[in-house]
Amino acid sequence: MVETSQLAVANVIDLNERRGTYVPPTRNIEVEVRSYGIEDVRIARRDVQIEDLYAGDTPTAQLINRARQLLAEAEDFSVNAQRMLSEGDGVGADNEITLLQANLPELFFCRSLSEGLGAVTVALHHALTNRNGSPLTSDQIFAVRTACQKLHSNPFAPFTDALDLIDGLADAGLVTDPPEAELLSDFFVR
Amino acid sequence: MSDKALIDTSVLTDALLKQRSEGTAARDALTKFKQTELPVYAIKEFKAGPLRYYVWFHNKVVTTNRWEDAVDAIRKLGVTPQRNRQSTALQALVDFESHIGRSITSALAAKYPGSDVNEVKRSEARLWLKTLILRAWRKRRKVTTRVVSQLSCYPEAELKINSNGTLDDRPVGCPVQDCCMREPLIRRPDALASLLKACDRLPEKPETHKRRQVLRQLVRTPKRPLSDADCRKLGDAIFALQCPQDAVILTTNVVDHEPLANALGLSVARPA
Repeated sequence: MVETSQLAVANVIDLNERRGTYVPPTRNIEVEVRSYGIEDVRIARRDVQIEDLYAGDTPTAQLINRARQLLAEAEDFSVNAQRMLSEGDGVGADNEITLLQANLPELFFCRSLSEGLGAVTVALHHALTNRNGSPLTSDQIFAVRTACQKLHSNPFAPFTDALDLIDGLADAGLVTDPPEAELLSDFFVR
Repeated sequence: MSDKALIDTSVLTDALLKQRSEGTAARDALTKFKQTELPVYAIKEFKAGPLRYYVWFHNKVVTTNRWEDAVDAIRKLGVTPQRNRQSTALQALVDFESHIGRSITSALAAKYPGSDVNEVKRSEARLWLKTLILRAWRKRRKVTTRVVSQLSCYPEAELKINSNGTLDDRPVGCPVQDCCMREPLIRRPDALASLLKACDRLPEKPETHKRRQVLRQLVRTPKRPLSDADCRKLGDAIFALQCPQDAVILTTNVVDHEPLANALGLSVARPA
C-alpha cells in the first residue's frame, strides 16, 4: 500500500484499469504504462484526479467523494468568509463559517478515510463551538481555511499532519479541545 | 523580579495539557521571563505523572465499548480524592455535552447507518484524547527557551502508536540501578542538609516523608545507589537543587516549593 508518494507506478496489464486501490494523496499522478507482450515500453503521462480512480458505486468511493465535496465546500466557505471580512461584511463572514460548522458532523462520518481527517474535524468542531457565538478573526479564518485546504487536497492525511493543522488552529487562538477536557484535567493534573 | 525562571512540572503540565484558564496563565507567565529553563527532570515527572493518566484513559476509551464505561473507570480507580466533586464532574464527562454527535440530524443518521451516537461519542473522545496527548508530548521541549540539566540515565522515549489503536508510553522511568544525579547531588552535602531541614516546614504528607527519607539517605550513605523510585521521591527538591542562583522557580505549587527554595536562597513565583 502506498501512503504518500509523488509518483504512482501502475503496471497495467491488457490496459484494463484497476480501481479500488488506495489513492496517493496527490492531485497529479504520473502513470507509467508498461505493455506486456510487446517489446517496447511506452511512458504515458496524464493528469488524474482522485475521483477518477474510484468507481462511484462502491461505498468507499462514495465516502471519498462525499468527503471531498464537503471539504471543497468548507474551503469555499472559508475563502468567502475571508473575502467578506476584508470587505467589512462581518455578518456575511460569520454566516459562511456557520455554514462550514454545520457540515462538520457529516464530515465526521467520513473519518474512516483517515485518522487525520477525523482529528481535524473534531478540532474544528470544538474550535468553532467554543467561540460561543463570537465571530472569528481574520487570522482564525485563515487557520480554518488552511486546515480545510490541506484536507481537501489530502483527505488521507496522516495523524502527524493533522497535529500540524490543529497546532495552526490553536496558534490562531482557537480552543480545539472540548470543555470536558478541563474536567479531565481536574482528575489527572494535581 | 528575576528575568530567568526554572519551570517545574506543574507549569509544564498546565502549559501543555490545559487550553483554558490555568493553561493560559502558564503560557502567559512563560512569556514574562527573558529566559525560561526546563530541566529534563520535569519532562520525566510529566511523562510518569499527568501524561500517564491521559494515556491510560485514552487506552481505556479504545478498549471499552462505551464512553460511559471508560469514564466509570476513573471512578473505579479512585483517581480523584474529592467525592462530591467527583460525582458532578464524572457525570458531566459522561454526558459529554459538547460532542459532535449532538449536531447529527435524523436525516444524517439515516444516511450513515451503523454509526450510533454512542459510537460517535467514543470515537470522537478517542481522537481528541490522542490529539491532546501527542500534541503535548511533541511540544514538551518547545515551551521554554532552553532545556537544561540533561539526565543521562533517562531515556526520553517517544510515545508509540500501536496497531490496535492504543498508545504505548513505556518506559516512563530510568532503567539503571543508580541514578545519574546521585554523584552531583552528593557533592553538595550542605545543600542536601539544608533541604532535609526544610522538609520540616513542608506539609506533612506521605510525599514529604518519602522525600525526607531519600535526602537523609544521600546525606548519610552517599555511596548507596539512588534508584529510579528514590529519584522520583526527591521530586520538588530536585528543582531547588537544579535552579540557578539568578533564577526563580516558576510553579503553581508554591506551598511545597517555597520552603525548599528558600533553604537554598532561592525564590519561587507562580503564574498569575
